Amino acid sequence: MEEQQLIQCAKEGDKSSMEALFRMHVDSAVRTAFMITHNWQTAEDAVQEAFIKAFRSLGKFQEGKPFKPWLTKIVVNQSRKAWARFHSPWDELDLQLADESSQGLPETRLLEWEKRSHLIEAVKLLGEKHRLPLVLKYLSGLSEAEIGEVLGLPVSTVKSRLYVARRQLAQKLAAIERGEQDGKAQPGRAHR
Amino acid sequence: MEKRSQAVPTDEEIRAALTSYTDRPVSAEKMWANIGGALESQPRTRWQWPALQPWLALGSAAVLCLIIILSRPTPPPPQPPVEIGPQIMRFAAPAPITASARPADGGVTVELTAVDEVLLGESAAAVRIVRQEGTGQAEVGHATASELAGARLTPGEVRHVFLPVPLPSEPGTYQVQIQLEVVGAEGPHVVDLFTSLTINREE
Repeated sequence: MEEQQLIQCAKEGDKSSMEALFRMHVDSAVRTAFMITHNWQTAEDAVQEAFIKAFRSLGKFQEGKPFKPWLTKIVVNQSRKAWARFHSPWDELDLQLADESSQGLPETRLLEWEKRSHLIEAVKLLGEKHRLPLVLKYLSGLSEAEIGEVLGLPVSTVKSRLYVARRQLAQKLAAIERGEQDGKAQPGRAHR
Repeated sequence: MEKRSQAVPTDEEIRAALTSYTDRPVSAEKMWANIGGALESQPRTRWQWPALQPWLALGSAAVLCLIIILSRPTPPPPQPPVEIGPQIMRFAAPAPITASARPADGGVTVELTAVDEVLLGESAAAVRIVRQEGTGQAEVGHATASELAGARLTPGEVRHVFLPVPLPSEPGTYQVQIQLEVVGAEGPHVVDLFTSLTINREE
């Protein structure tokens, strides 16, 4: 069933359509929430609350519009509240390297892993003002106009924040590669 | 080598790093069970509202009439003594941020100091300069500043915001009112900060 049909049925109280919408968007929602709450469990709790709110206020959802930006706005607000409540430090998550790790990594894969690891450290060092648009663009897959809707900002501001975020990312990445890692942003990543 | 390390990461590199970093199993079954349970406990469908509305309107009107009828003959109750304690507490509740203002070239510089860690909302900060006139106030100028939107301040961190507000022409002390949106545990809310601005004009 098309997303718009699912929304229509969910508005009429159809549980299976709600579940289909949930399964369609939960993965992306939790990833986004994690980048705000810094904690996987808190992210899941925030997303759970966000879905309950979203389904309860489906009547306000404008027909024909994409569901994801509308839901993401609720997820972002819920996650910000959760972060403000708990101020959790970053979870120690490993970068996923498929299953080859047990059989020894080829050098290129190891270099790629190290590069990504540094990039993540640099992302963590960004302020929320610049990190959030980056997350919404590259992780949630929203357009700049949709990011503007989610954050309540004009598109020009979103563009400028993304520009600044990328520049800051490059600077922080260079500092990390030179070994000037900020203590705040180096939670014990498990190097294997 | 240095030039290479300063290079801006590509879209694909950022996307791949974020995706692989957040590639975790999601407890979808557990989450859906909780969501389904919460929705069951408070079912809300659109078609119920039109059916409820006439009853709600009728009930509200009846309650209103009852209140008017009952309140007419009874004399006004004696005023309870003013409870100063809770009011003072409300005003004395520490704001997460403090402010001071000083005149600058072509405007006013507001200095904000975070008392606790504070996350500012996305709304622009609104600043008004007012002059006391008898029992009322007259606005001398106002401006908004969006550069702090979304900023996170650590305890003790100081931020300066320049506001291109026309400075009052008469020397004296003015009140500066600053409205900031702060994201707290209960969500975004507006915090009002008050400080004074002294104009010493040497004519």
